[in-house]
Amino acid sequence: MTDGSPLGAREFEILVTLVAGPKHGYAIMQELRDQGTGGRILGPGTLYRLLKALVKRGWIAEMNGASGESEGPPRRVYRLTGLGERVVSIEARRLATLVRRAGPLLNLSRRSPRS
Amino acid sequence: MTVPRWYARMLALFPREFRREAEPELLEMAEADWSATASRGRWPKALTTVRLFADLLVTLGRAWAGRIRGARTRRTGLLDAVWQDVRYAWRGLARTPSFLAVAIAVVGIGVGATTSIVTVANGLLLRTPAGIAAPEQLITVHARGRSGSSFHSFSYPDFHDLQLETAGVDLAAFAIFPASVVIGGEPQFTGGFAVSGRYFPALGVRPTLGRLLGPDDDQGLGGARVVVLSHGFWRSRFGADSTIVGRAITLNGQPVTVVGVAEPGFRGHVAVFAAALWVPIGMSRGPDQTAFFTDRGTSFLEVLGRAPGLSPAQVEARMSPISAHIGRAQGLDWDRTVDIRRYSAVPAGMLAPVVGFLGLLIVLGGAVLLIASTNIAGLTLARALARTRETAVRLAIGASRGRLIRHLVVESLILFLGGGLLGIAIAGGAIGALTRLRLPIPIPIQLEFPLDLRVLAISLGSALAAGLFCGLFPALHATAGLAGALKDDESARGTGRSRLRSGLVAAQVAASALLIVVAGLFVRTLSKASRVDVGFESAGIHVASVELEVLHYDQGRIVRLAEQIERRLRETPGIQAAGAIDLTPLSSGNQTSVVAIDGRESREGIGFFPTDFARVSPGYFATVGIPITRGRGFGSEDRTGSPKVMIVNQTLAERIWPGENPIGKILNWGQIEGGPPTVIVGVARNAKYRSLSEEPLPMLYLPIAQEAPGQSISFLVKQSVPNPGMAATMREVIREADPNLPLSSNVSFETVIGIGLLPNRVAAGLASGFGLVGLALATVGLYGVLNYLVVRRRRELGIRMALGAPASHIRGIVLSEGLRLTAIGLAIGTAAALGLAQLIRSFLFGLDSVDVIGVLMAVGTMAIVAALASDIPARRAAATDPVEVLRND
Repeated sequence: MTDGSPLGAREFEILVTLVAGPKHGYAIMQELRDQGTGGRILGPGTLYRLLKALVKRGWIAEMNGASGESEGPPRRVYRLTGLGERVVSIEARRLATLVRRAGPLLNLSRRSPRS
Repeated sequence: MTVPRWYARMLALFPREFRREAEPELLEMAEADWSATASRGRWPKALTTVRLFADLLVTLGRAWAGRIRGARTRRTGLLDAVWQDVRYAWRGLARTPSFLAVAIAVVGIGVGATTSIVTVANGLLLRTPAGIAAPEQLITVHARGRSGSSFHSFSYPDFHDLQLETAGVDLAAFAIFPASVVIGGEPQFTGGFAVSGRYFPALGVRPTLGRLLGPDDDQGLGGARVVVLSHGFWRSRFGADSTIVGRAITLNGQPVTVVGVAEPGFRGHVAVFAAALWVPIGMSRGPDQTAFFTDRGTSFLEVLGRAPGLSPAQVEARMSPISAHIGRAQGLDWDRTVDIRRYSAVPAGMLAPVVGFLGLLIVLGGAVLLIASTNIAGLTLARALARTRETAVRLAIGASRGRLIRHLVVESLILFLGGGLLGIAIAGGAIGALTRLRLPIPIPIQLEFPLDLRVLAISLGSALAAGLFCGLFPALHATAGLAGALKDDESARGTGRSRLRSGLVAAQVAASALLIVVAGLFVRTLSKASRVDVGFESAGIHVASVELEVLHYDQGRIVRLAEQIERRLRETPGIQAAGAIDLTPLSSGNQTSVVAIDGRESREGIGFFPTDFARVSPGYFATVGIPITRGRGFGSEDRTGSPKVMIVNQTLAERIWPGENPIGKILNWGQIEGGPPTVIVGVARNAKYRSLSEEPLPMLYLPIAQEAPGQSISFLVKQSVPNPGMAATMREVIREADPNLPLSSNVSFETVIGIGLLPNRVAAGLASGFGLVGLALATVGLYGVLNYLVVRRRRELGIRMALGAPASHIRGIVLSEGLRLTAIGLAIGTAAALGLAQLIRSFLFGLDSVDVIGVLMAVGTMAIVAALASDIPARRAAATDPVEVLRND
């Protein structure tokens, strides 16, 4: 259902976790939990589905990484494609612009701290 | 911290391809998610659990939806089409939520009625009591009488011979064992079985604590005094005390050692009866009752056995010669045979009436389901016809007829599936209420009827079958010959369809007529029973019965106790009169004996007269209002040592001395030859003794002071004002006299009489309730079909009126159509009900085999309701304005 729809915040967050380099689903999950923006935490099923959708759009690709341990099947690793990198950077720039424009608002809220 | 196990388990629910692809990764991700919160405490952990679960559910739904979509793209076929049909049908149904709700409720009632009854039938007849191993190998053994009658019991020596001589069958004997257990100083009356040594091994029951009874415990009279408790009794009365084994409890006034507790769930091998304990057979009789263990003529044991690999016929062939041999040994001049049946939890002798009664209830429930189904079929047809135009257009633009039929069938299936689920919920509630029911009877019972898979499969299966039927026929009819539909030629089609609708309505009328007639028969039985002259007063009388058999008291002690209690009761304020009898009349029991007199022969041409008998106190007759028509009642002078006296009832006097005065005559009673000579001092008016439906029976009364009762005594008190505290008062008086006396029942006399009528009440209540629902549904159906008729024949009726037919004539046309359908239905339904009445005659006492009044009442009710339902559309038809009709045409 996400095909063709604009890039959502959740998809963007996933893409960002891959900027530093290819990762396992496991690692993506951890990073989203530890360094996420504090929004709703994605469940494994949802994350899996979003990853597949991103693969389908061609923004990320799956590769069979070397199996970490000797046992078990090789674990799947996700990496950004060229297209994906462009999408992330365009979106990042767009968001940065937005943040800049919202700057006064940030200052404003700093002046009246929440009680 | 690893992912909780349920997570991995739930993954098994996913489509296989999805699992192969995603499972390892999902597990890893879940692990990452879980381990991040799991260490933080209980609340975050719980939250994560909920989140993981919700996430997995959503994923599960998506995975299957994707799978179905995937399948659709691969093979565009049935699955896709059905999926579409379901969605289409649901949208159609959801557009008319009131129809949806009514239809589901109607089906729910029908399925609920049948499911409840099938559940009870399943619980009684098909399920084996818990704890019994390999029940298909079990058999029951009964002795046959001379004339071939079955279900006779065995004597102790007979059983032992059978057990020794029959190879390949593990035989066990048992007898009902009424028990009074003192718990916390209070004697509690309950029941169990006295069993032979092979009872537990043959049934394959295991102990929870200690041991069960074995052959070593079975030493006849004077053997070990030991008891095994049922798990339920141990838990509820002894608080599951694990130190109970080896301790002594007071059982029937004697200390008895508990040797074990049976496994949970095992409440004996008899349905409904929840045995509380088991003792060796030797403990079931008093020390002076040696005849029970030596005399071949004293039969008191039921026998069952395990016969692996043998059919009942094979066991019978093996056992009958032995039985004949034993019979000869005890002096029979005929070959006694045995009757072997497969074991069932309902005792073999009671199987036929139980099956009959349940069969009746299933027919009643089935009639409700039939009405509900045909009603829905009618509604479905109406909906289909209302959409004739839509259907015709869809056909014209190329939809296949099969597709249209499928839509209607799927719609109907959805309705019946919903109704089936609702019905199962209704049945669950009804069964729950039944389980909590407490009957005022002294034996421990357990009405536990689980809704098992078999029943659920039957219910849902029959609901879906009905749904298929009710969808298919209307669909076939509604989509046939639609060529004319687009031309809006109303009269060109529809005769076949209206015939189907009429047929459906007639079927509903028939089924509800069946219910109402049966209900009428039972209601009439009840009203007859309540108006029956029982020959004594039951209003305002309270009965408390004590069990003596368990205490083995001597006669003098029993007489003194009875007199003491009766005196104390009489002194209690609020009590007008008190009396005692050894067997409460109309309490579903009887005791018979014989009287003989030289030179007189009974109607059967034999030298003695069979009669019922009872032992009563002097106060009994006055308490229950049975007048002494001749001679005198019993008095305090009738004691041991004084001349033996008796009172006969009018029937017995008439049988022995027709037209003579029996006072002063002497009878021998109790034995055919040489019974004690007893003087008749009075004649008591006739009354009912065994059941409300009996013909006048001969009866003789003996004074308790001369013939002490051995089994039980019932104390009856007549109250000046009915007092709800009477049960407590009587318990108090009896306890004061002897704290060991166990009370087996303590209720109003009317309750005692009511228990005998319980099956009638159940059947009358169910049939009436079902009948009313059926009548309401059938009325709606009739109204609907006539309304439709009026709309369809509007033009014809308008033309008739234009040509001068009076309004009354038009009204008559519609009314007569309604009454015609009603008449057909009534004829079929009444015939079916009368057929059924023949089968259930034993429940309909006091009525002729064809109860004309009852049938007429039921038929009349239905006819009036049907006429009212027909009149509304008839009036509407009569009010047709011919001008408007012809103008619109």
